[in-house]
Order: sequence, then structure tokens, then C-alpha cells
Amino acid sequence: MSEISSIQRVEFQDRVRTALNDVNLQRAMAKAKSGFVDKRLEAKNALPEFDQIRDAARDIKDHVLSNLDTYLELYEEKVIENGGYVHWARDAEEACSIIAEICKASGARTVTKGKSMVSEEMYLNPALEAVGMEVVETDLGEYIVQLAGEAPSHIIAPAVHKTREQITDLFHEHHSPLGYTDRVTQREALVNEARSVLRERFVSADVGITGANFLVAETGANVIVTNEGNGDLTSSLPKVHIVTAGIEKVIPSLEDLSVLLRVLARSATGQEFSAYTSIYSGPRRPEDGEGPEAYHVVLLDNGRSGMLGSDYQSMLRCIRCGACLNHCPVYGAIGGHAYGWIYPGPMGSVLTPLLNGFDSAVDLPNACTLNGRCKEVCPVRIPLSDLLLKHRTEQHERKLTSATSRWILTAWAWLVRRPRFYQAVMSIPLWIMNRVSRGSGGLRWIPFGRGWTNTRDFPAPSRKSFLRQWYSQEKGHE
Amino acid sequence: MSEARLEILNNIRKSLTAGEPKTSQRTSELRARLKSTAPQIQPKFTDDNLTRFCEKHVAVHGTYELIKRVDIETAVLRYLHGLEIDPQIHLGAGPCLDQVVWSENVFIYKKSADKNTRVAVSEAFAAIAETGTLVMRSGGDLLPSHNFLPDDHIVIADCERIVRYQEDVWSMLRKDDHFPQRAINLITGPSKTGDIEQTIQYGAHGPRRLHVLIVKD
Amino acid sequence: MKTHQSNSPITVGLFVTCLADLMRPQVAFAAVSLLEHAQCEVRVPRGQSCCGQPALNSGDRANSIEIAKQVITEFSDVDYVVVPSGSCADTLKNKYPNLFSKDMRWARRAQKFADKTWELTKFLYEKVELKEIDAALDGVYTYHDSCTGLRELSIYEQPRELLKQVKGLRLKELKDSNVCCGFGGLFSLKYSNISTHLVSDKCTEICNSDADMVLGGDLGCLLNIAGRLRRDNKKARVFHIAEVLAGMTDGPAIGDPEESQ
Repeated sequence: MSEISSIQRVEFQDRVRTALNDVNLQRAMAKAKSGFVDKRLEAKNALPEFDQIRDAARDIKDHVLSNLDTYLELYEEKVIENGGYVHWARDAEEACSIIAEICKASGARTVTKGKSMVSEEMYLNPALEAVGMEVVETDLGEYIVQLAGEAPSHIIAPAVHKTREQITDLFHEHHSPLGYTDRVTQREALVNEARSVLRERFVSADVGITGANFLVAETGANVIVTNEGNGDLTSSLPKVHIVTAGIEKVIPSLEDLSVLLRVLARSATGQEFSAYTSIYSGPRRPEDGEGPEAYHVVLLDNGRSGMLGSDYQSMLRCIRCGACLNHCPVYGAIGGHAYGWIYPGPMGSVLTPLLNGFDSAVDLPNACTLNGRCKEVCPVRIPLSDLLLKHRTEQHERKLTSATSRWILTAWAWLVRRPRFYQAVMSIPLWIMNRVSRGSGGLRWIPFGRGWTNTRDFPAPSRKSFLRQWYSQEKGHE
Repeated sequence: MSEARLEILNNIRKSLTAGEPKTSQRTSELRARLKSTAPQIQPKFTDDNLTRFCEKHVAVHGTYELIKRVDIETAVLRYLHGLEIDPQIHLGAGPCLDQVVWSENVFIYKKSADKNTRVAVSEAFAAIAETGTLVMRSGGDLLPSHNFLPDDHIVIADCERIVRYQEDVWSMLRKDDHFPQRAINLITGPSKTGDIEQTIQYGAHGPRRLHVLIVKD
Repeated sequence: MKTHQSNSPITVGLFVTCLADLMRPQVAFAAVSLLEHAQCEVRVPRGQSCCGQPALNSGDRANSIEIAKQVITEFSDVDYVVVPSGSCADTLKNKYPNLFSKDMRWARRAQKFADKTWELTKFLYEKVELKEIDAALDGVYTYHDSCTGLRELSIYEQPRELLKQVKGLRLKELKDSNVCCGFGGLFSLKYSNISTHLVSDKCTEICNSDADMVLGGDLGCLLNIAGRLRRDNKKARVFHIAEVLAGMTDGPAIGDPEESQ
């Protein structure tokens, strides 16, 4: 194992330990645990065509990906026709500087943001703050984590790791100077206070930045799906609207959009349809009574074009619904921050090494039991657990795993391939462990197995293996 | 065109086709696909459009009333009176709404909503039975801020314009001269958030209440 | 039996699995007994050890390929291969064929091998339609659906249907029975604290179900669950489904001391 990966490993294990011992996190995650899962199941059961629609959604995304260059050109053509601008960014840094330039050129001072994971991916907020912008997140969850100085821990529920008490403290600390001196603790009051504070921000912002759930090539539109309406206020009120999106977000027509919308909300929150699905094409028209004067789209590659044509292409089908996170037992145990980067859960464990380099997050594809629940619920049928296994093969081939573990594997495989010798060798520890257990049924300690025996008994093995018993009883089988 | 654009498109082509450029035939095939607007798989349901719309709208915490065209003002006033709200409204436009002659005790604003806007009255371009969704579009007197800033949003929906599926709306929008309109807002229930303890709370940023007056003569 | 004439009994090769072989031989004896009850001629090829999952799940394709070849060869002359584990059966059935994408001859052999490979409960319920089993066990059980069997081999109703034949046994469904127990093979050692968190949740639900025993079809999960239940002094007993179907429940349950019979 390289030095970097052993440092990584220690850091990952540290984050995991912190998360597992974080009382607030564990309380919040326990509360959130079954809600998403139950609601999705209910929505799925209420729609007999759900699985067929998933197939159609997968096929649309596959069709786009295999024609991505053309669809991006067609989409761009339409945006320009609508009076908007399209900017192309090879990486995060380029995207940030494009956006910073647009903000500066329009004389902006304050920026409101609708929820956008791709802007998290490009570390946009610090980049804008560095050029003097005041940046305000407007999705309530994003706003909460922004106040806490944290990153989102879930791609659709950014503050899922926060308890109500923590949110109360954050609001009290940050809103008191604005005149909200009462300490509010009830959900409704907290939401109202945030509504009131953010309202001032919406109406005074110079630039609004949103993500895009989809980009529609037919009309040159960006589609944004929210329940709060913050994305719409961000898109509509400031004089400049900037859309950030990964290049894989383009889809052909509005009919394709309908298919994808039918699986998106159901998979994400178990809703049939989110409260607001909005389709924005360009700046205000001469006949419009309101709307932004300028409309920019920043398309981010950041490693995506390299995923095309590879074993991991299907990951680009992802519509960021979060179902794989909601159904992942590991995510449920450790929350999003322990993953170390902005995309957590199964989709993050597949994506992070692809976007940041195979050696950047060696633990992520391994910290998974391969239980396959993510693959089962993915609305666009990304074989997530298979891709995690593919990552492990990639790591093994690139020798990113530790030399010791590789050596042990080789020795073990050598033994496994010599079954009779294996049976003879294994009979020794078997006999010893059986003797040590002295009929108690379990061992409280085994060599090299402290990870197991610290918290679990190790059920005592049999005195004699099945194969040895079978062949001593039934010599006829020899 | 920018260097980044060229490089990204080249990378995509290299990954997909080992660098071969797309033929113009392929491009025109894809253009043709964009024009083919046949719906793909749609959920089946048996209820009529009005029944389904109402059922789904109520399921997402919306309220509604079936009224006659001539009763729009009365219904708006009755609703506001019930909430003890003064009849000061930001008014939208539409075939039904434009026919209303508002009496003097209604104070009407024909302008964008602002942070203090209490009530907006709009007319939906269409409504979708499948999901209980209202479809609003921008242009002229149709101001998207009315959909997102008021505490109360009252929306007139002509029963004749309740269609079965989203795809039916796309066809209607395409026939409009201004297609694609700058803003097409599909609204399904009042604004809400689950960001505090994953528990739904209404009135996150947008309307706290959404009341639909379905016009059926 | 559906496909064979009664005068030529079908031959079944039992792939014991390394965990049953070393940790719980009774599971394999139970499997043999059930297969024989279904009129199968059971063979236990001597040249078997492990299906290779530890290598496969560690991304070690080269060693996985060599192990796969050995298993395929060893079971070449039986009609069916039956495995008392969902995850090992999945390895033999779904993973082996993918290992030989560059070797057509072996790919064909692996596919043929895959086609005749069955997980035990699926084989008993769907293939040989096991009936009239002679087992009785008084009590309430709950069932843990091991992930790989459930999701890759669609094993859900088979064990429940088979267990209906055991006299005196009643099912109380486990909440979140389809959620991972946190075993995951080497995962349980490499990420033991996460693994512990998951198995604790699982055991909490088992206790909440008030069942007398928890059954399952994968020894890995059962060892994990039993180990945690024992450490916490919880009373639910743990058995592999084959043991219950074969009426081999008089001895100690998994992880239980010998004198508790």
C-alpha cells in the first residue's frame, strides 16, 4: 500500500469512528432511517408500471450517453437561440472562474444559490467568496449546513445529519443579530424564521445560481425540481441566472423528461411528483413582465467524458435521486460526511474514485457489504454494487491495496486450490479452537480476529470438518 | 468556439467512437428524434380527469372548489374572508380571469409579487390529472413571481383544460407562439420542506396554501 | 421430480461451502439428508474447499479464475450442483461465467456449470418439490433474508414455504428482514465497527420480534448474528434452515454451548 493510501485509510477509519460515536448524528440518522425507504416502497407499489418506466428511463439515458456529443451541440444551439449563453468547463477550477467572471462582470455583490451538487463538486462557494461575493444557500437543508460551516451529508437532504436541537442553536446564533432574538425550537417556527430571513436574500440577490436536474435539448431548457420553491425564486428574481450542470444531464425531449420525472420523485422521497418542477429557457423575452436579463449555462466535464465508453459509463445515468443512499445500511450507520467527499453512499463510492482518481479514495469501494440494495432501488438501474466490485478489481490490478493483504490472499488461494492439503491444514486451528472453547459454544478472542471478537463471540467451530467426517464415515466415497 | 468546448467534445467522441466524427446522417436522425413527440410509457388510471385531479391535488395538501365562471370573484372573496385576509390581490391573467369585472372592494395589483405579497390570483395554462398538477407559464401578464412569493396562491383552472398526462401539456405548449416559454412551472401542492427531521412542513419559501377554483359551467 | 425418470435418480454434487465444512458440519449433513429424502443421489466431491469469494470480493481476478476452474472441474460429472448458501451459490452461478470473458472455452464450461447450480432451498422447493419432510419443532421463528440470495437469486418465499412443512413451527416476520446483517465476508473484519453497528440493529429487531429462533440460509450471516446475540446474552437461538428442515435441532444452536441441548 502506498503511503498515501495508508494515510487515507487511517483518515477514513477516523471519520467512521467519529460518526459512529456522534450521538447527534446517530439520533438524526435513526430518525430518518425508515422514512425514505417506506415512502419509496409505497410509491412504487402504487404504480404497477414502475419497473417498466425504470427500464425506459435507463434506455433514455443510455441513448443520450451514446450520442452525448451531438445532444450537447443540439442543446447548445437551442440555448443560444433562446438568448442564453453556454460555457464549457473542463474542470472545477475552470467552472469556478467562468462563474466568478460572470458575477464580476454583472457588478454583483450577493448571490443566492438553489441546491446544486455540481456546484459543491466544483467548490464554488469559496471561489465566489474569494472574489468578494456574498453567497447564500437557499434550500433549507443547504442553508442549515452553510450556517454550520459544513458540507451537505446527503445529496437531496443536506442536513439529514442534524437534529432539531442543533438547528435551533444554529438559527439562534446566526439570526439573533438580524433581530430574531427569540429562541425558536418548534419545526414550524424554525421553518418560518428561515423563510423570513431568506426572503430578504431572494429579493436582494444580484445573481441566482441553480443546478439542473435535466437539460432538455429540444428546447434548450434547464429543469429544476424542488419542494420548497427556492430554486424558482433563485432562477426568477435576480437579474442574472446561472445554471451549473454536468455534461451528462442533457436529455432529448420533453417526452423523455416525463419518463424521468415519473421515477425521480418516487425514488427520492416517495412522492409521486415534487411540489415544483420548473422548466426555464433563457432570459426574459421582450413580451415578459419579469425574469432575469441574462441566462448562462456552465457545463462541467471534470472527468465525465473519460467515463464514457468505460466499464463505468452506466454511472453517468445517475439522476441524483439519493435512493441508493437511503437504502444503504453503511450510509445509514455512518452518514454522509464520513465518506470524505461531497458524493456519499453507493453512488459516491463509485463516483469519487472516478472523478478524483482511483488512488484518491481506496476505502470507499471496500467499505461496502455488497448487499446490493442500492442496485435494487436505482431508478435508472445502475448496477452500483457491481461497479463497486469492479473498483476493487481495478485497485487490485493497480496494486492500490496493501502488500500484506495481497500476500495473504495469494497464500490462501494457493491453499484453497489444493483441497486435500487445505483440509489437513485447516484441521489444526479447528481442533485448537474447538478445544479452547471447551464446549462453551463461542470464543471471545481469536488470533487476527479482534475486529470480530471485540463485539461478537466467534461461534466455536466443529471438532472435525464435514469433509473429514464424511470421508471417514463413508470410505466408499473415496 | 472555446478551446474547452472543443476539448470536451473531442474527449466525448474519443471515448465513444475512438475519435470518429458523427456523420451528418446521425445528427439528422437525432434531430428527428427530438421532433418525434409520441409519449412513452404512461401510468394507466381509470378515473376521469376531474376526479383524478381533485384526488391528487388534495393528497398533496391542496384545497379546491368547483365553481361557475360567473362566480370567480365571489369564490375568491369567500376564500379570503375565511382566512380573514384583506382582498388585496396580485392578479394574473387568462381567458377566465380576464372576464372577471372586479368590484371596488377588491384591491388589485398588476405587477410582480414582492416579499410582502400576501395573495396572488392566477389562471393555470392547464392542469394534469395524473399528478394533480397545475401548469403555469410566463409571458405578458403572466408573472412567475406570483407562483412563488405569496402566502396564499389561488389558481383558476378551467375544467376543460385538465388533461390526462404531462405529455398532453407539452403538445399544448408547443402550439403556443412563444414556445418554449421562458418559464414553465408545474405546481403540485403548496411549498414544503422535509429538511428538519425529515418531517414535512408547509410554506417553506413559496405559498403556504394552494387553493384551486375549478371552473365548470 | 420434474425432469428425471424415476429409474435413474438424479445425481447431485453437494458444494459444502467452507463455512459449513469447518464451522457447522451439521448444515452439510442436513443438506445431504434432505436431498436424499428427495430421492437424489448425493455426491460430495473431495476436491472442494472454498468458492473463492474472499478473492473475488477483494478484486483478485487471477486467483478467482484458478479457483473457479478447479470447482467447475471437480463437479463436472453430476447433474446438479447444490449449495447451502445464497452467496456461494451466486458466486458459482452468476460470478464464475463473468470471469472468463476472454476465454471462450472456459466461458462455455462455466455457463454450463452455472446452469446446473442451485441454492439449496430453491432446489428443494422449485426443482425437486420436496414434500412430506419429517421434522417437528415447536416454536416461533423469524427469518433473515441474506442479501445475495434475496437479490441475485430471488430467494424469499422458498424457505418460508418449506418451513411450513415443519410441524409446530410458526413464522413471525422480522422487521427489515431484507436489510444486511453487516457480515459481508472480510468486511466484518476490515470495517468491524460499521459491521457491529449493522449486526446490532439486526439483533435489536430479532429481539423485538419476540421469536424463539432466527433462521437463515447463509452461515456467514448466521455466525455474525449468533456471535452478537451470544455476546449480548440474548436468548434467540440461531439455526441454518437446512438443520430445521432435516430435524437436526436437538443439539446446540449456532454459537450455543454444548450442554444447553
